[in-house]
Amino acid sequence: MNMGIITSFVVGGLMLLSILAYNMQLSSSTQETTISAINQQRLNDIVEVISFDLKRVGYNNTTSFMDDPIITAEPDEIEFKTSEGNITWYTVEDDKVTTTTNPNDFYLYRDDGNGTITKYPVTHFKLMYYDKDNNVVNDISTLFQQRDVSIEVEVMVESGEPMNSRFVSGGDVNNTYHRTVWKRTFSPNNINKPWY
Amino acid sequence: MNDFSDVIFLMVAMVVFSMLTINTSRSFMNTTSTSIQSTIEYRAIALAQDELDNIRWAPEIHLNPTSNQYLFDSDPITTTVEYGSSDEFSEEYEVTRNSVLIENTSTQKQYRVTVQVTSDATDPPVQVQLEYIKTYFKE
Repeated sequence: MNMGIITSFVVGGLMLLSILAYNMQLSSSTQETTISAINQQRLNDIVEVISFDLKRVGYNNTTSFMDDPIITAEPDEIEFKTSEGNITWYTVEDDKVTTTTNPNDFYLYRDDGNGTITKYPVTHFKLMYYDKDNNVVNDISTLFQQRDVSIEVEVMVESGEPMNSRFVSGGDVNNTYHRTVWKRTFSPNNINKPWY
Repeated sequence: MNDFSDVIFLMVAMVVFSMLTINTSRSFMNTTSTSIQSTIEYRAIALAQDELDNIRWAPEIHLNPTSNQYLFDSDPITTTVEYGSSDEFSEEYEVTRNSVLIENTSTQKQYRVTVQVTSDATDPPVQVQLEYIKTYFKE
């Protein structure tokens, strides 16, 4: 066979391989960027609603004071009064999301007290309660009128689908999911006051 | 001569292709870097908001820089925020707070409180700054 044709095949083959590798890398990067953007947006959606809710714990548009505004204060559940109804945020860890491949996600529920329940897939949700001296409060009923309480919320969200997958020994697939987290401490106006 | 020009064509094509791949990779690198920075910025804003939430309830003596009870004498402070079900992730931020008296009339005093949160986790560092105006009415 002509030496020139062989050389052309070799060079052409190398070029083809590098174009294929380039294309795969491009697809993989695009996938990672898109998944991370979607995941961050999902977290942002939850953050917006939680922030809106927790800022108005004990909000009452008819009187200036609402007695015992926090009904339930647990690490995985909070129920509080507002003049528009009792709002509850809670998780049920066994209630896994079945429509994604991520084995870690479960539903975070928001009950607006008027029959509407919204659910968000999360992988971690934790609430902590602090008094005015920044001590952890385990039993909210010990605080007088539940005043001067800060509520710390932590939400972690992972993508429903993997960013990339790798085959590991034994034929298993190791999936990597995009993870993002947010943590904030709220001192709602209606249950706080100048304490110094 | 014809063989030699083919080689030159091939070399030019490979150089063009290499430049294309390098530029695309750089572009994706920048996108990833921006994405990570914006995520850190998102959390830094939450931390700055926490600080402002606390400051909202402070009495005037704590925001007055000339007072011996000024809250921000020891700033900047380093804050470690832990995340995860068993706090397996953590991030460190430097928080700098200060207040400036911007108005002092017969009826009120106004302070501008600035909270600056910096994370050195990336290069360049992520920095957010929030401001809050606190008014105290004179009796």
